[in-house]
Amino acid sequence: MTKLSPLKRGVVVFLILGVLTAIEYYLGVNDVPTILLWAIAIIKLLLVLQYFMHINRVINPNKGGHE
Amino acid sequence: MSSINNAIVSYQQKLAINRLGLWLFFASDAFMFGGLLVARFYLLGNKNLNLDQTLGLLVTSILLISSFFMNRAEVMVSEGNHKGFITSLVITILLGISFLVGVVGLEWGSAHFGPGDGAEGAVFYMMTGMHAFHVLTGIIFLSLVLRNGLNKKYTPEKHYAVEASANYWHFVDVVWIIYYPVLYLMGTI
Repeated sequence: MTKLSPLKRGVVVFLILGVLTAIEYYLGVNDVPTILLWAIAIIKLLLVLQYFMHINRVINPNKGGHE
Repeated sequence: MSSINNAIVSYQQKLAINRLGLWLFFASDAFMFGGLLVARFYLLGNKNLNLDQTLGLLVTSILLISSFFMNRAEVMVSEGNHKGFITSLVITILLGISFLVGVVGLEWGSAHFGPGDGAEGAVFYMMTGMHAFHVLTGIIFLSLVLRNGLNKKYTPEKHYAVEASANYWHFVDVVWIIYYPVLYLMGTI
């Protein structure tokens, strides 16, 4: 994922989030165990934190898109 | 005091401090949203609110797409693509307004309970209302960034306001990533 350009990475993450949301919806309307919905939500949350919010920039201040 | 000012010399150092401050704000705000999440399970247990599933999926998709365009706006400004940045930002704002219309204008109107109808109403309107308030403030934040962007105040080298507004928007998305299954999908009717 890190080898992709930022724009392509955004597209890939968005597609993964979309698929996960569709799965989440399907599972939710079919009364599956709640733990599965939690698992999907946490995966989505981690993806956004890592690839959209760039949480690494806080941990490592030298990283970042601008000087 | 002057020694502190002298210590903060570079833009990079200011950037690191600004980022830390923003994330501390996110942490404090997350405690508030977490409190509402706990209240939902404490008051309603495993009960499903029986909301409009189609509308729930629609507004969730809108917010997800808006996050994509916000990320695109940030990438565009860092690459010096002014037109792409402005276009993506405008789309994000429009999608944010659509989300507000979907939740406050449609979902609130179609829910089979009001804000004063016991625990269900209290939980649903408080959680969606507080989130919608954050979406509204995010739209205002993005509008200010758009105004500055139109005045060409951001460069590929210096655009922390864009990064901060993007992170705030993604934070609002993160909250909804948790709230959507909790409000719409979990529990039994």
